[in-house]
Amino acid sequence: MLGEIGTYLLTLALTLAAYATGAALFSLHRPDKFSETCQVWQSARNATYALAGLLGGALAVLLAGFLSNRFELRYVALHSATFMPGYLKISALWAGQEGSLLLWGCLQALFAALAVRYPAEKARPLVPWAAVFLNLITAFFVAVIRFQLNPFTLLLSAPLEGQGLNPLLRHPGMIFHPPALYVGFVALAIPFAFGMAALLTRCVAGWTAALRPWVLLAWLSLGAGLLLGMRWAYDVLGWGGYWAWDPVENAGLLPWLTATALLHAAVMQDERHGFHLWNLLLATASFALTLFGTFATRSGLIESVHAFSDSNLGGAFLAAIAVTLGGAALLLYVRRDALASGDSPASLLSRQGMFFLTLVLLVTLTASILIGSVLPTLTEVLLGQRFAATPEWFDGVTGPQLAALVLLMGICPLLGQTAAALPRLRRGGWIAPLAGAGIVPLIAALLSLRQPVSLLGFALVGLAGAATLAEFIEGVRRQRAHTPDAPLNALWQVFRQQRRKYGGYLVHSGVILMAVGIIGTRLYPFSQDISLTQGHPAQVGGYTLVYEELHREGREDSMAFRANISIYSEQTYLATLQPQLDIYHTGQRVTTPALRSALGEDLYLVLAGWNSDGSVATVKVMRNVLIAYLWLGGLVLLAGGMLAFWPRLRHPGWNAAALAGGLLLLAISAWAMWGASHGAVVNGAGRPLVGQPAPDFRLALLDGDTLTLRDLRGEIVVLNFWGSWCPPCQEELPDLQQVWEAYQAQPVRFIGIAYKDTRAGVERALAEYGITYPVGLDTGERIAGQYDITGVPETYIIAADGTLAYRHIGPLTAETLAAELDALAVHE
Amino acid sequence: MSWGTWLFGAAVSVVVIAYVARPFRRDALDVRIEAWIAATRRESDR
Repeated sequence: MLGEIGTYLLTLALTLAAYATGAALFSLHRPDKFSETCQVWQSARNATYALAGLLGGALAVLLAGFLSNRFELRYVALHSATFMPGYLKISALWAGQEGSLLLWGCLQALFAALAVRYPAEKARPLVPWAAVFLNLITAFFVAVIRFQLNPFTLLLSAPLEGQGLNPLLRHPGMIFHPPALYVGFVALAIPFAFGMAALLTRCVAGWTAALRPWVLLAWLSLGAGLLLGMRWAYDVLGWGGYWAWDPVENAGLLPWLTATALLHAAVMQDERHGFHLWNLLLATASFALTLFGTFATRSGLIESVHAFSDSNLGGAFLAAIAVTLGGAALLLYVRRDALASGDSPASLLSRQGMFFLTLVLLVTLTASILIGSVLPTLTEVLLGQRFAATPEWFDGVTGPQLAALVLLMGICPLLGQTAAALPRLRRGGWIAPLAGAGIVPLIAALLSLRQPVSLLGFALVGLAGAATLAEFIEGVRRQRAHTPDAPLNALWQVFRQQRRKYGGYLVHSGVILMAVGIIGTRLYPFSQDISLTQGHPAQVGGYTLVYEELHREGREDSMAFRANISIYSEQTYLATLQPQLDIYHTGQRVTTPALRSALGEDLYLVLAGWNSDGSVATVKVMRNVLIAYLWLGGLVLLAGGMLAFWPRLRHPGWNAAALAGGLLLLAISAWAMWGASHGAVVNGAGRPLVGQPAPDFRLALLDGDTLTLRDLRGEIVVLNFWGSWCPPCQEELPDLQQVWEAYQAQPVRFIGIAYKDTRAGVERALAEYGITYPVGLDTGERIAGQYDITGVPETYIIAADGTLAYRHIGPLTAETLAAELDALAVHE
Repeated sequence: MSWGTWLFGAAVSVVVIAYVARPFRRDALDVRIEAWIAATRRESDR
């Protein structure tokens, strides 16, 4: 029944979308057009609202299918299973292309309804034409969903269990990443619709009022979506990176870049009444690029690791892109007279000139990435030979452009709004940026980051960072000159009074921080595959790694293998990393890397394999230099964007809701980055390494005496952790007794520490195996904790000077122990 | 298709058609009064 209802709602929605488009178009030919009294327009408006309701209803029906395990629906059977928790069933809604397109269509209808219901006052005359375009776009999506990708398609016989969600998508980042991108994509349809409406009605002067909230929403959502996607790639995919220049990743970045340009151009149109053509072109390009993103993901024509397979949507979306670009070009040509304005900047060395250069750079950056994304497919089709746009190619092409953008961020504040910039420069405004350009590369060089290209990058970052910081300081200084506020209060006032300006500088700070991360990760990569033997330290990339053990855990649909690897830096214990590999019953292998984050670099471990008994594990070790600045910069960028462009809403309650929503968005992003442990645990002071002082302890022996390790200085101590309940421990007891008897005449002491044991059990075992060396109970596992043992048996040899000389995990033979003691005696 | 599905479909269609056709069912005076109220509200919000 759910499938039939869903399909019916889609059919009704398609009919209604066609009606809404036609009625809005018809209302434009009525004498009372643009008027509240026009009945046809009112009916078209109602149809636009009802459309959002119908598609929302269809989405709710599909959600009900997921939550009630209705596997007769093909889409539910493919992406859900009874054992999946509720939150994963919700995110499975957009795990496949049918559901994700339905979500897209639903958001499209909802945003269209909101844009029609709450237009900016200046844009009110544009609404009927905008409604025509918006309903047409919704109709296109609903038609594609209804006839090509219906999520309500029924199976002939319902399976008892579904296939479950792709394991790669079972990550918190993946719950929010796709909807965030869809919100961004859909929001960019509104500026396009209003832009075309502005051209048709020749009202190109005031339409930016209609576009700003939507572009801001798109910019923020795409930014958050991209950041979450980058973090998902970093946390889940296990290749150590965050951006592979994959066409589908690029598909999200391209409209974000044009939206960034559009926000800048809209400011210029508001302030200087220019940039009309830029705004219209950027609005069109942004919308066309969202369609390109869908085409890239779903056509099956562009090779990508993210693409949905067996898709046949390429033709429909290619046609939509062609109609959008062709129609917009035609309209721009026909209305070229309405665009005549002072679009060209007066001088490049002005704020307007800098904005112009920024727009040019953002457009060339977009074009470069677009070319790199489609060129491999185009060359293969046209020339028969595939041009390989590798990550190195993308880095090489986009790197200099990003550097130029950072340079502009440094220069723009120096120029200021007016000619007042020159006196300020003469007063010493150039000192801070120049100092920054010198100090940052110097610090980098001291930290051994000395590649010439990176030093140049750090100089630019220093210049832009110091110029931006100087702006904040100057703002606070001016504020305090008026009112004697404390510096932090003054900073708050500065932000409150000039939100757009200082929010913009906060965005620039975010980009600058991200640039630091990009320089570090791209120019100083470190990756090494290494086989680690249990208990044996290995040196990799300046760290000491000790593989402790391999845990196995059976789950409903998989086996989880987790390696415990202790990490030391210059003999100091840092953390224990637990990279994991899940092998699903379907044969799919999913790695969960473990990482230790620090401001300087992340240490990133991926479990690649192990031998049959788990005594040797192979791991990929990566160091991601300065990557923390990339994530930090991303959050600063989003916070700045919210501050800079958030419109003042009509009702105070809405402002509060918007602020709460924004803060929630940031909190989710921050949690994804730093909230979760990412497979790192810290076990006290960690396990002592060979050569380090052995942790001192007091042990109550079974015979009533008390023994302190410190008192045994000058003697070699063999410390054996064991348990009377553990068969391998019982196996090695005779060997230990044999060596103890052989070395009794020498300064060697044996101590047995019974772990998680009872006095009766220990006494029984000692009597059974004839053990005569001193043994005590480790009450509360205190000593085991100090030595951070993995389990029992585990044996330590402590040299006469009190340092750890040898460690062995597992049962020990008499020969091995004697050889180690001999070697130590000779050495001493 | 079950009776329940038919009934649900018919109910949704009736509600949607009634809502979309609502502006045509009112007197011209009602429409003008509503337009005036909407304009006045916008003015007071500003």
